Amino acid sequence: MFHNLHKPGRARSLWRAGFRRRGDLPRYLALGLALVLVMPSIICAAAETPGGGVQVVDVLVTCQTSDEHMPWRLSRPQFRQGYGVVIDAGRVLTTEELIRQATLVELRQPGQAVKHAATIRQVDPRLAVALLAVDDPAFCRELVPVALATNVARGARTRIVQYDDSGLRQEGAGRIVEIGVEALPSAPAAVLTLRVLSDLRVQNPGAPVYGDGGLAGIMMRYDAQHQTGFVLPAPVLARFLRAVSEPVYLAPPSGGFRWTPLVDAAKRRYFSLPGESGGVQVLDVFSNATVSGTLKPNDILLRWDGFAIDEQGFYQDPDYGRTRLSHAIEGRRRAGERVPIEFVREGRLQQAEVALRPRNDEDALIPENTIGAPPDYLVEEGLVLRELTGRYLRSGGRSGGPSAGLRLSHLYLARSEQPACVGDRIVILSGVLPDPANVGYQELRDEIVTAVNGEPVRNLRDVARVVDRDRGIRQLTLEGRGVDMVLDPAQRNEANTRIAQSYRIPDLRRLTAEARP
Amino acid sequence: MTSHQNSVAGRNCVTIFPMNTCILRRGLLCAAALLALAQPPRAAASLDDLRRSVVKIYVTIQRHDYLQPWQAAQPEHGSGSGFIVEKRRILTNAHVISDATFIEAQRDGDTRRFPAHVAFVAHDCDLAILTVDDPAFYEDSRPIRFASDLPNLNDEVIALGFPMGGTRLSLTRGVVSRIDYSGYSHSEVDSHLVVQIDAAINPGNSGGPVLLDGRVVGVAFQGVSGAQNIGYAIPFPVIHHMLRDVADGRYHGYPELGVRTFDTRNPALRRALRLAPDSGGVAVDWLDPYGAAYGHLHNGDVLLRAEGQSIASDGTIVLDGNTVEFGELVERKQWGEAIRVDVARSGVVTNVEIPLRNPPDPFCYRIQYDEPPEYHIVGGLVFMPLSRNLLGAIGGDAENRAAHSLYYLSIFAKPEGLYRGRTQFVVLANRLPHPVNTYDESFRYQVVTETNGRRIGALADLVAALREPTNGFHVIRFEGTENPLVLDAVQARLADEQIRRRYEVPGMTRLRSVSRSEN
Repeated sequence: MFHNLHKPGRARSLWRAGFRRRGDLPRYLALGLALVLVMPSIICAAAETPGGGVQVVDVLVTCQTSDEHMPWRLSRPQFRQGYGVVIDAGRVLTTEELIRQATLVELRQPGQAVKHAATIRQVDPRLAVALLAVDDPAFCRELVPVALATNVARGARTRIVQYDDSGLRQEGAGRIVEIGVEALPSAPAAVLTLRVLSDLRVQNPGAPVYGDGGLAGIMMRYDAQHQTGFVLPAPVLARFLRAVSEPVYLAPPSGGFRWTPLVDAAKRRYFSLPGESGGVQVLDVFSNATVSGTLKPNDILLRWDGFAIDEQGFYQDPDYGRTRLSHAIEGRRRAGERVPIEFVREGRLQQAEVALRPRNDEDALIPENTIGAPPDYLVEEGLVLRELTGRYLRSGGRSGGPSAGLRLSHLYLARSEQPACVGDRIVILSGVLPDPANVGYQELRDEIVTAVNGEPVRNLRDVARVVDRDRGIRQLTLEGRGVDMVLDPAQRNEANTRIAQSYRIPDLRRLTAEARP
Repeated sequence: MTSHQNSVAGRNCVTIFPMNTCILRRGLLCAAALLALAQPPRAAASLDDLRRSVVKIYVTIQRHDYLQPWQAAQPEHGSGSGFIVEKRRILTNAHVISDATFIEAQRDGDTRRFPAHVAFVAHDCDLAILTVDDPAFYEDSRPIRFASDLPNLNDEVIALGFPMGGTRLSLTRGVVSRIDYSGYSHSEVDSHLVVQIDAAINPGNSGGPVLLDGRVVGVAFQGVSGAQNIGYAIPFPVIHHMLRDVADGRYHGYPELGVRTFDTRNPALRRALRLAPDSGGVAVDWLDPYGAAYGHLHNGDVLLRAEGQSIASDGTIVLDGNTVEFGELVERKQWGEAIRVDVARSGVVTNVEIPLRNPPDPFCYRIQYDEPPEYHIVGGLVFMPLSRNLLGAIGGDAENRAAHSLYYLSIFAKPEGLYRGRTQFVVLANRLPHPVNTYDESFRYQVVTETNGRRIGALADLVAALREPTNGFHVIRFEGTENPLVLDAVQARLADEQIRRRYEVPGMTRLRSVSRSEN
């Protein structure tokens, strides 16, 4: 059945060839007509979806990005479009990247004009997936859920669906050519991913990929040059939905350590490892993570959860065959479960059991903020204070000068996952809004703030607490500077009012982050 | 930021067509005629003298290859300008003759080229003095005299030289458009006074005189990429400093005060520092451990006056009618002299005399010239000290995380205290592929901290540590990671012989001296 569906692509390419060789046109027309006749499901009306009703919806997103340097500013509204797959009555799965920084999410039946508002129910950036809820009960009744496929295997045939502007359904055949663990460019972490070869040029993210009698996955990205789609597979979607059904959503677990293959024979001898024992070398262990206190740098990890790890960091997964270790750690178990591990330390075999803990972006000293959440900030007498994130460093734009930027990016590269204590962040003076109150300081930017009014600060909440307590900043200590900045608290209210008006800042602070210890 | 580029003609290989030569000659004659009309008779007469004293300098340059440090790059040919000064010396730019293997000088109108050699080179201010042994070179020449001070804005000046590879003297005319304190691109780290002129200065002008009323007010030396008619000349005070410095037969270089200051314009800060509202002054923010002021000043000191001159709250002073950074006062001092500063320290004003004698600074990372780089190879791994030249060589690999750390170290080694216990940062700069190092590529550009249990603070430390393997292994540890690089010591020794032959490496070690760190 599925192999027939591949023929539209062939028919199309033959049609194009016909234009190049006009003499063959009648022959190709006849052949094309014959192919279309035997494959009625290549293009059909949206209403003709198998089983009737709406399984796939257009997801229409209005989004605004925050200005990382003036975080009270939002970009002009932008528009994105993709697909969502109806997973049960009133709930739609789509990609996290599609609804990133959304100010409005709407759903629409392909080819229809009427839009229905939707609410974002759950987002998991690590799994790159999002769950939407339909607000309109009438629209809910038109939706028909798609069952998730239970078997996703290398070599399996798939069917990819999308809709053109008029709402006509397009289908293309595909084949799963690879099951791997990789990080898509937009995702913060590696996740189980299917590579599907298909000549259907998929235009928008979120397109459903069917196989094994159900939804095999949703398309994250399509590489037209190589005719390859990157698909988030059904097992990852099922796992996400299971977690959503829990009273409290728990993100997938993370090992909380970095490792490297251990192939070098000299190094294996140095670590007193037998030649064929496999195992990878632990490079570093993050603070407050699953293996904190159990593994140490230069331990050689031999087994995780019963799976033997080879020297390149692969194990034999019962479902997917030879698979990268990170899937055994993050993809097979839920947070809270305990798994046995086996490792060699200083030549001695050791065994232990670790409790799997989720690791969120917020656990880092310097979070990535891949999802582009509006950054917290505080403006005091024109000093713009915020926490350092990967997104801020990548935002470019106004440079703090090569040396200031270099210092922050070095910190990011060297220590981003190593907070000394939970909740520690790097607070920076990202810039100064010129005003008479801050004369002499206006060229300072990208400076690390270590203390406010003489009190050490660990994050922006600490800064806000000290500012509120002392009714302003008297003294700001910057790392590496022998002279503190001094401000006049008596001028604070007047200066803040003036600055808010001059620079059109609706609120001089945003502190949305949960209270940290 | 402004990017300065050397205008050395060493890189100019422009072919001058005969027509261009004719145009050039006509232009020169016109310029001479115009000058004769515009200037008093004495100035017009001096142009002939000037022409006899301006020199074209031909150089063959061979740079060092910092990724294969045992060999030099291909020789390049180029040219620059210079002029004859007192004592039968030729003044030119350091960048014209840096890394030169052969230098010749030719006077305008003379077909003969004379071999020249470097008497003094001052890389920190981009000046050099050449000499020609053959007395015939100086026949009928007259040393060009210097002006006694900086020119004024809008003074009309001429630049003489041999731009774009031309063999006939070129004269361009412009006005002084700015006098500033600015970066010198030759070393990439030094800043001194510069005179900005709007006369066309092109590659090949480098080292040529910029003249006001027949006297040298500057030496043409760099331009600005992307800007039109902006050229820079090294002004007389800098030239004078260099000439005084070499009077004892040795160039010592500029002393470095080594003080970073903080603007004190903010009234709240001034009150906190107990400064009168209009007393000026700048606060000491950081002291360079290799600077002359280290041990004499403290963080938080406020510098009020230097050599009796008031320092404004933005760090400037008025000198000869121009507003310049107060560091210009240090600039005018010779190494070994002292500078007097009035300092407000905890509200009390004291006078401090700072001897301007700072130790050699291995962490200032000037571009290095004329010296072949140090290196040591073991198991095909090429170790070198961090240098600006090495950073330049790996520039294309700046995305590499470890390479990024090297850039960071080159700027923050001293401010962040990372230099302590070292005289060099030893970097794994390259890998000559061989089975013994197949899995070691990920260590490239990392900084060595320890080898076989010994701290590494200089390349010589590494060489010594590698003589004593640990249980048959060389265990090399790096900054910021606990992942060691491990070589089987016996296999590495055997591999070295193969690597030496395969990659035609004449020697596995080059150390400039045997000095080790203080570890």
